[in-house]
Amino acid sequence: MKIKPRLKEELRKYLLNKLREESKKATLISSHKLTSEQVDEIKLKFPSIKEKKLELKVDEDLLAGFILKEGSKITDLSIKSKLIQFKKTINEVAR
Amino acid sequence: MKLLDNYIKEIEKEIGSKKDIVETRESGTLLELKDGVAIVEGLYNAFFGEIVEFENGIEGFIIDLSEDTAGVIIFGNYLHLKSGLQVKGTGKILSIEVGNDLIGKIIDPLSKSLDRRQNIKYEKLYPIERIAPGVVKRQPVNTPVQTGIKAIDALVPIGRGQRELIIGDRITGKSTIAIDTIINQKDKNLICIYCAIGQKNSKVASVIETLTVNNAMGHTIVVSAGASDPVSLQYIAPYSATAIGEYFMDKGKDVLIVYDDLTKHAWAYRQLSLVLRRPAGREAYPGDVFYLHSRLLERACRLNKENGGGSITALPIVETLEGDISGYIPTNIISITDGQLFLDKDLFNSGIRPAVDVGLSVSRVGGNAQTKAIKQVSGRLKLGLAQYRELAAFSQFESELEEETKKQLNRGTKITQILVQNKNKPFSLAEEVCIIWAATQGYLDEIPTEKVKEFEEKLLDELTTLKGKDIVKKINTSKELDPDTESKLKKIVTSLSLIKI
Repeated sequence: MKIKPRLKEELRKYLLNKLREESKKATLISSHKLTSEQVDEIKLKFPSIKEKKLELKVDEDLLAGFILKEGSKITDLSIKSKLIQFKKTINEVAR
Repeated sequence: MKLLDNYIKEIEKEIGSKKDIVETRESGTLLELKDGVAIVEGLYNAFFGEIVEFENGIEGFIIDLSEDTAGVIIFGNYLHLKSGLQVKGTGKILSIEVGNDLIGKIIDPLSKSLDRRQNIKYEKLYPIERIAPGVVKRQPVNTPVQTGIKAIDALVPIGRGQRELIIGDRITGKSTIAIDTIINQKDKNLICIYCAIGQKNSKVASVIETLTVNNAMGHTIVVSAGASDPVSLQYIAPYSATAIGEYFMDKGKDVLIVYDDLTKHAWAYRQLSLVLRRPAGREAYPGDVFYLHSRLLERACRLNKENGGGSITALPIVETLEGDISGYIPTNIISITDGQLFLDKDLFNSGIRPAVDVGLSVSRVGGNAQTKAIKQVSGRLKLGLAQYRELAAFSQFESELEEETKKQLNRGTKITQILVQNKNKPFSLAEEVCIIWAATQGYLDEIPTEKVKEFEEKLLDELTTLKGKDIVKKINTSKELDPDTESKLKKIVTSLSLIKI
C-alpha cells in the first residue's frame, strides 16, 4: 500500500506536536505510591514543575527514591541508579 | 587478603571523592541503529560533541543534531544496543585523560590501556577536538628532526613543528621510514606518538615489536584503532593522538606524531557520513573531508617562547594506488602539509631503499632547520643528483658519451648507492655527514658500484676507532664540519679508498 506523502507529513507533524506537548508536562516516577504531602514537598524543592501538569507513576524496580522527568531533562534520585553507579565505580577501580 | 583490603580502600576513596549532588541530565530514547551510528530521539538541550551514555554503560558522542533527533556515534560494541534504550547526556565534551605516565604505553583512542596489566596514572583531561594555535602563538621551524635516514636528512629535511607527508603505494616502506625516525629519537628530547588508524592488528603488533626490540618504547606512545575496532574509534584516533601531543607540547616539549594512515581515516569518516545520510561528493566522500584533515594537521606547530616553545611535528602517511598522487585524498593532504616524501615502487623493487623519489619529494620549510654540517655537504649532493637524473634520462639513447658526462653519471650512481640504507639502522649526524662528504668529494668514483656498501661499512668501522671517534664527537657536538675536522676526515677516507685500489 502506498502512503500519500501529504499524509506522511501530517503524521510526522502530529507526532512532533505530541512530543512537544509531552515536554510541557512532568512525570514523577517513584518506588511506591506517594502521598499528596510528599508530592507537595518535592514540588517545593523543584519549583520548575509547579505550573506543569504532574503525572505520577510507580516503578518498584527503583527500590527507593524517585525520578523526575521534564521533557528531555531527567533528574534521577533513585537507589537503582546509585547502585548502578556503585557497580561502575567498582569495575573501574578493578581495571 | 592484603590485595582485597587495598582494593576496598581504593573503592572507598573513589566513592568518597565524588560529591553527592542532585544533577539534571538530558535524556532520550534510541530510535534507530545503523552501522556504528545511533539515531536518538530526545536530548533536546544536548550540545554538539557531548558524550552520551546508553543504559547499559556503552558511551557515544553526538556528531549530528537535527530538529528532533541526534546522531550519536558509538564507542564500543554497538551490537549490544537495542532500540528503545534510554540514552543519557553527560554534559561533558569529548575529552581524554592524559598524563606523563602514558609514555611507553599502548592505548586505544580513549586513552585506556590496551594492555590490561598496565595501570596508567592520568593527570589532566584534554579535549579531543581543539582549535589549532593561532598565528601570534607560532614561530618558524628552526630545530631539525634528525630522522637518521641519509636521504631524508640531506635532501628533504624535516624540522620540529613541520608537517611532512609520507606518500606512496602499498609496501613501499612508508611505515618503515616513520618507525626508523621514531627509533632514532632515543635521548633526543622528542616524544613520539605512533597512531595506527584502521591497520591490521598483526601489523601494529609487529610495529610494537620493532620499537621494543630497538629500545624505542621509552619515548613512544602507541595509539591504536585497528581495522576491527568500531569506525567511531578509527575516526577519533588521530584527534586523540594529537590531544596527547598537545598535553606534552603545552609543557614545552617537542612531540612527533605519526598518523598511519590518513587514507583509512578518510574511509572511516566516509562510512560515518554515509550512514548519517550526509550529502556525498567526489568518490562518495562528504563535503568536509578536506576540513577533516586540515583541522587535524593545522594543530601541528611550533609555539614561540612566550607560549612555552613546545612543538608538534606531524608525519601523516597516505597510500596511493598505482603511484597516482593526483587522487582526491592525496592531493588534499599534499596541499595541507609542508612537503612530501614520495616513495616509488620501481625504486623500491630495484633495491634502492628507502625508495625516496628525490625529484617528487620536497620539504618547504625544513631547510631552515638543517644543521650546518648537513647543509655543508648536502648542497653538492643535491646538485650532483639533479645533474645525474637529467643525464641518466638522455644517456639511455646515446651510445657514445663524453668523458665529462661519464664522470657525472658515475658520480650520480655512487651517490644514489650511498643513500641506500638498511631498515631500523638509523645513522647519527656525524656518520651521515662523513659518508655524504666522501661521496660528494668524489672518493667513491673509483670504487665499483657493488663495493660501495662495503666501503661504507669500512668507513663506519673506522669512525669507531680512536681517531674516528674524535671526528664523530666533534661533529655531533658542534654540529658543523670545520676545516680541521674535514682534513682529519680526509685522511681517513683517502687511506680507505687507497686500500681498495
